[in-house]
Amino acid sequence: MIASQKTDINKRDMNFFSEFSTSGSQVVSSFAIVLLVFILAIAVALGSFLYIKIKVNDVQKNINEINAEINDPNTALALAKFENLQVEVEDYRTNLFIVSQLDLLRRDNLHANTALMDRIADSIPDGIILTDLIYSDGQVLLAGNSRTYGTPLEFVQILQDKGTFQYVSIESIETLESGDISGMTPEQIGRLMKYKFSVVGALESFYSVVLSKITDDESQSLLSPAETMILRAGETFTSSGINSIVVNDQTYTLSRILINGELVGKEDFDYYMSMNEYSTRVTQKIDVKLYYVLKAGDAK
Amino acid sequence: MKMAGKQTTLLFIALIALILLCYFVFIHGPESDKLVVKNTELQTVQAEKKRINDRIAAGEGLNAEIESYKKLITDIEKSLLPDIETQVIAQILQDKFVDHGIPFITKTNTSIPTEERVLLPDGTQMSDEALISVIFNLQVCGTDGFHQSVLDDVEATEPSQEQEDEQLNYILIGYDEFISALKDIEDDLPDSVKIRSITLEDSGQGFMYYSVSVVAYTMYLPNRISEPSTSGAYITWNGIPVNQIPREGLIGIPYDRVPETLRDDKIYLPFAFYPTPAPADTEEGA
Repeated sequence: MIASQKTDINKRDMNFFSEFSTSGSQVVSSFAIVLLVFILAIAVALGSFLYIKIKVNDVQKNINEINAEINDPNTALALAKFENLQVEVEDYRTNLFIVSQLDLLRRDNLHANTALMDRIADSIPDGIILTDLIYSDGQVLLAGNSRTYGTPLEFVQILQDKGTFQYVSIESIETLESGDISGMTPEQIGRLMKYKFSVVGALESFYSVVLSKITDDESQSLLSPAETMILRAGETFTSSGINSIVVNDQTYTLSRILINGELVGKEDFDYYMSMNEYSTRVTQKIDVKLYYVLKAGDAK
Repeated sequence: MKMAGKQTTLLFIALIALILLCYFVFIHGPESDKLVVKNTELQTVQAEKKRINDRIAAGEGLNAEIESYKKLITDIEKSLLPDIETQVIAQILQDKFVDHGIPFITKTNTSIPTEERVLLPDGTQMSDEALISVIFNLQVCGTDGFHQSVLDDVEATEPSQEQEDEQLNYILIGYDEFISALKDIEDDLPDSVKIRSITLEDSGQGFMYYSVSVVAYTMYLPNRISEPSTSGAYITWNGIPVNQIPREGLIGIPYDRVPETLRDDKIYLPFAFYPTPAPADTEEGA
């Protein structure tokens, strides 16, 4: 019994020491692990810190190098040169625009060419004597004498077969009047071409018509914006209410008309005034300038 | 003792965690942020450098662009006359008709120069540059073949029977000569000297009048980039050398050159002793 009790005590003591030694070594062991982890963490952190520090330094170095290049006088010089070039390019571009536009103005002007004259000269049928030809502003007026009233039409048809005109206006085919043959012998009359004709051929499909209302004084100011329109060859252009214009409560009256730079005669002018409109068939480029004077009483 | 060991360990761990936290918060974090900032700054300066490099490289392209503009502008500038010398051009035009056998020039005149300007790209102002044109109007006439002209040889042989039948005794000059002169004019400077209009008008007496309007173009270019030509056709005088032109012209028509039929017996003569020509009997009396 006692022996067995002693054995129990011995066993308990052994367990106590055993437990003691186990617990102590466990604490030391975990402490060491933690310490090791700590050291490792410190090492990693330090490494990482150093890595970042080096990286920051590298980046800063790159930045400095690039900044040095940017701030290099040569770079500034090259940039200034580029900016000057940009200004120069813009100047040249404007210059090119202007000269191109001026050249376009020149090309837009209607010119005559001798190839058309050759075509006309080669197309005159028997029984036609051409006495007048006016080739200007994109139209051709052909006038002359013919043996019959149909010959001028044959002449036009020959021209149109060659695609000469966009539109042909038959102005007149008239027989001679008695005054034209007075004093002639029957033989002389027999040799005469009995018809006079006049036709106008338009060479362009479309023509521009510009109508401007201008003060008839030194300033030649526009009384209203110029009207510009493009009309098909043969179309009729009409501008009504031309006799007067009211601007700023002042009435201006028509004093003269210039068509393509030529003054309209008194008879035609009076006719336009009586109709209070200008109307014409478009077979050429038309520039109409209506000149106005301040109505008496409105002048200040 | 067992609890105290664990507590120490836990405390140690907490301390380590705190240290690491402090490290991350106060050291690693700011440094890491600094790296991010620096990287951003690097990207910015790299972008700036790239932009600068691109601009500098684009300068080469701009040079090429300028050269191409210069060429286009020069082509247009050189396509037109540098200036319009009316006497030079009119002399050449007159010569064309003489050279093509229709020398009967009946009219020559020029118009006032016309200026046309364009709106600048901004659409608000007109250009200083202008297209300038001057119109030259010339009229020549043909012959009727019936009357002798200055071109006919005075010593010419007798006309043939056929010529007599047709009443064409002398050289017949007309449309063919006129149109060949026009073709010559047309081919000379096709951009700057152009035919504007052609008019044929029958005189009703067996010959015709032939008229042509020729327009000459130049540009007023204050910023001209090409050197204007100073010599060449339509630019320099092509007639008799100036130093060889006889200079014995007069100022005023001398009395002996006034045709007798045009002498006016009743004209007031402010300089004369007798202010009007003396009557014949007075003259005799004197």
